[in-house]
Amino acid sequence: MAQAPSRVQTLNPEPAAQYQRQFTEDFTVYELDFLGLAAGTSANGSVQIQADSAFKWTKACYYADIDAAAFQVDTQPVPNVSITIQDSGSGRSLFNLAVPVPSIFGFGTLPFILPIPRIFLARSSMAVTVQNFDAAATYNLRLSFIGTKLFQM
Amino acid sequence: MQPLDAMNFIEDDCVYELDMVTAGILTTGFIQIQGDSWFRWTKSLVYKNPGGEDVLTTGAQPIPAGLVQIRDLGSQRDLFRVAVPIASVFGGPAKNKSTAVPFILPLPRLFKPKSSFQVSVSYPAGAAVAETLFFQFVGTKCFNLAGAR
Repeated sequence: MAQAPSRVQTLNPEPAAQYQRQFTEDFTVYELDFLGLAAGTSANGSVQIQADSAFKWTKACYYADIDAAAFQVDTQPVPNVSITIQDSGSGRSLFNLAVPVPSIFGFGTLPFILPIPRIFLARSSMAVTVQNFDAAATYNLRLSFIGTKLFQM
Repeated sequence: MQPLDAMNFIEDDCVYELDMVTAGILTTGFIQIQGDSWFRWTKSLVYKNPGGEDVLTTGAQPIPAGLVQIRDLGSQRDLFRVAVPIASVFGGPAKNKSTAVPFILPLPRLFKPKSSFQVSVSYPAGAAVAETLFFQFVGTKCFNLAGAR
């Protein structure tokens, strides 16, 4: 009797699987802040991955305020900002078009969990571009790329 | 010291609490891990005391404005590249929830017995610098059973 074809395959280019190496992991966050992002403007930034380890990105959070004003659970600003992310190592953009930040970044109480962890190699960088498409608000936008450091053993 | 996964151990629920009254640009606090067990940190929460005598309602709880950095004093390693918003790596009151919702770490973080870690809270320019914060580091105590029989 013919067997059903195996569905086991690896689409995720994890260094651990690709290079048959062993890693130990440690919790970390790479942070990228865009302060004073005025209405209708865009800004570029980059996250430099440290040389001691690769970065396994698993969760994403944002924190946005307007003029550093305090806010409550029900009055938390949701920024009208879109984002593009490019992996400098592979040169690949993660999205086909800019995506609204609140769609792919959550809050500490409910972070956005990536469909699969995204690996950035040591010494690589991610180039980030944000676009404020609000008509009036100027945001202080803080993006947290949450995951683990992969230390090669 | 043996790695934790090489030991037989039993776990027990545990919360390490750190209460902090921030009064300046930078405030630091310390947590000392007890000597009887490892601490396996899995979830985090923060509660900000709104002050005054107003009765809080769901949705009206304030969100901390500060940035946080955590340093493992055993390895002298900062967990974050730079300080990150407290609200991004600590759970707390959430919209339409009557109870707090914790932030779940990507993977548990282990701290050795008798080790300690430092929690630093700083404020970006223009933000409030006086907050009363109650941090909860939620996880389990891991008691080593080596030799016990």
